[in-house]
Amino acid sequence: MISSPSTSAELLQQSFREEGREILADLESALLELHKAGGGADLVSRIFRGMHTLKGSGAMFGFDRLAAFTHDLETAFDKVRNGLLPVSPDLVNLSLAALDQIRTMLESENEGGDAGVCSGILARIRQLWGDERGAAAVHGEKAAVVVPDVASGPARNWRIRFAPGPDLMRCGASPLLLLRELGELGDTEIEACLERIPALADIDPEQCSVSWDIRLKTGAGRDAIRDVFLFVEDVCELAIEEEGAAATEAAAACGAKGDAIARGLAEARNAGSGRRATDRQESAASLRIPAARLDQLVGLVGELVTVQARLSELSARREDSEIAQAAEEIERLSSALRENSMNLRMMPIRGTFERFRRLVHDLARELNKPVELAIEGADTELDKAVIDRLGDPLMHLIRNSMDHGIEPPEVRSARGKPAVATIRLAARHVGATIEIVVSDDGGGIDSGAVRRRAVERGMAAADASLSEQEVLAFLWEPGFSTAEAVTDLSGRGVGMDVVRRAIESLRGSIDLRSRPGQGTNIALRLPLTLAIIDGLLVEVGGGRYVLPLAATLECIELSGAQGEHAAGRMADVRGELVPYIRLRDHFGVKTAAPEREQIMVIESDAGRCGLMVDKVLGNCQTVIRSLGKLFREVQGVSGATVLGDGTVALILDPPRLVQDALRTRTRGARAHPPGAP
Amino acid sequence: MAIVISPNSEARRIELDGAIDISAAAELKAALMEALGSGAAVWISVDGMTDADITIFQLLWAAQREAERLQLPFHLAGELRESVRGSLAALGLDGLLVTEMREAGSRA
Repeated sequence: MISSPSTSAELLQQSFREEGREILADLESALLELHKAGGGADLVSRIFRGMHTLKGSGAMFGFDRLAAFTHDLETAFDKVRNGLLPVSPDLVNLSLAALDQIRTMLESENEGGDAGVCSGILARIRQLWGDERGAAAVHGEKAAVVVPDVASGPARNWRIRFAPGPDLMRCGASPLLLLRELGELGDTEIEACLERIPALADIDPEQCSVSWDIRLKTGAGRDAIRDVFLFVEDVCELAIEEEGAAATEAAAACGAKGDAIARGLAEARNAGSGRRATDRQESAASLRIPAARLDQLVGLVGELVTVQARLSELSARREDSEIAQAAEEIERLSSALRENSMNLRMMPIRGTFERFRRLVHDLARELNKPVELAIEGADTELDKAVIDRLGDPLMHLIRNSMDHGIEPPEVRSARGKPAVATIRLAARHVGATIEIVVSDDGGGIDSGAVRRRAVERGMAAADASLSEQEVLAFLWEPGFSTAEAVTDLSGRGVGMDVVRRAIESLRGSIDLRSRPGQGTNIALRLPLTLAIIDGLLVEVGGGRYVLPLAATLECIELSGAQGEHAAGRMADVRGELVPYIRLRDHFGVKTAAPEREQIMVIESDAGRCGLMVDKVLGNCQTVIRSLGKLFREVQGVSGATVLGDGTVALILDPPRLVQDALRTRTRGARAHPPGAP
Repeated sequence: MAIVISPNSEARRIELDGAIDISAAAELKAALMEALGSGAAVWISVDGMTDADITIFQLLWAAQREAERLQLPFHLAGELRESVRGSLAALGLDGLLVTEMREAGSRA
């Protein structure tokens, strides 16, 4: 026995799962758009094609239940496409429920999914077009067994020429399944043409060299015939011609060998089918790579950057011009390699954002609050590792907004607001960070209630003087997210500490603003990547630290005599007073300070401020390493890195350092309010 | 799916077992080339084959043609299963593979 039987099939199934997830996401998005628009030929066509591809590919890769279940959905949208079934909320909601079942079938090993739910969905979908048949036994039924309800017109004779291209078999398609599907449309006479099969020695064993001439007698139209070949159109030659027609109307030819007219027709059809043509170009120009391989690549680049730093360090000590030149060259290359490999992991946030359309749709039904989700900046790109960890915090924020922020329709009407509320999800680049905003036009947060709750919990003195921002900051504290708090508060509070921890673990920050009666705005600021950054190496009390270069605006020098003001530490930066944190004091360093110290000016949520260090040592590429569980709670430090000489430097988190300093100051003010003895 | 090759001095026998598809096509081509290159009679046992795709059918057809060119005995031994006959019919290839009884002394 000389072959491994299952590997190839498993790989193909895995490939189908990945493709299926994308198709399902697109279908969900299209269904929600259809729900909003109430119709639209392009959308219906997009949905039909998505379902057709799922069905066809599913059957091809052995997902028979999935294919059979999708078939009836496809039929429904074929009826919509042909004007036989109107778009209705019922159709959209049933289709969304069906997609959930398909997703379960796709992800489980034995094509799981609730058979009862599936049957119920199909029965209700059939009822929409007046078919009172009970749901067929969906599970276990082969896709091919279900006879499409498309051959309803007068029977006509068609001649079809189908010649697979070189890549048809390699992309997982099967002429056998296609011809069987064609046979479901009516009576076929199939003639195989073997002339193009080369001699045995010259055969490419993974290429189909057979072509077919088919006579088909069917009541189905040209579209239904063409749909059989829908997802192999670009890897075959296909001509469909009605027998007895005065002229050959359509020679739909795809691939390189079609004549000019056929190609023109095919192009026109592709243009008409909207995104498919674009998709094909994109897929031809792109490559699907498992995320783990990219992680591995970035990990290796990280190692290279560390070794390169060591080489640069050594070359600086050796004072050998040839080694120095080679070291510089390697530094340049590793920097370019780092940038390129990081770019490979950058992806648009669209997929994450679009997922929430469904959440908002479902919650709006459940809570009886009409809400529209407005998405902006969905093409903004950031590291996949960040995107993967953003889903949960964003879901918390949107749920909170739906549950507690958006008022019931009657309250909105009484307040003179539009009945349909809006939740806005927006992303944009701000320097080397990304800002994601979740905002709503709901009732805002009742800061009075938050304050009362904070006092009750002993988090603030009853007479403490607190700004609005300081009050709202309590919402992020652990313990504010209890069920009791939800009952007591008219505003948010549920799970916000979970959000804070998730965002902080991404080295991000949160800015919460609320206007009573008008809504809430939560801005998340996140780094574009979690792997390798450009940093500035600084020294404080003999220890070395890295400041992310993207966070720093400029560096100024300060002598010991300057900077002490009555209101605290302030530096004069070209006439502007900038508050600063002396890291020696912050870290409790007791050794003598140098005569001249330097301040790195940074931009934070609290405005411009400075971090005073002993000395700036220079630029460095920084591979970010986790600090591990032991140091996870250390404030103001986001990770560690290995320097060229093998020593470890901590990576500072400037926004957290500033927040920490502000919090310390606030607590001091609460403990010792102005005027207190 | 399995392809088992049993060489001996007088004949090359290739047994096709289970569902055989494109993933085994390269292996089957190599086996057919080797068998035909040996100059011996070639026996392809097909009765264990539960299904096959077009890449397998076209290889068997090309091998048959090559054997004719080389004037070598080429036999498809055993009985095609219903599923295989169904696939051949659906592909318009009825009669493409003509089988005969096993050769004397072959394994069951």
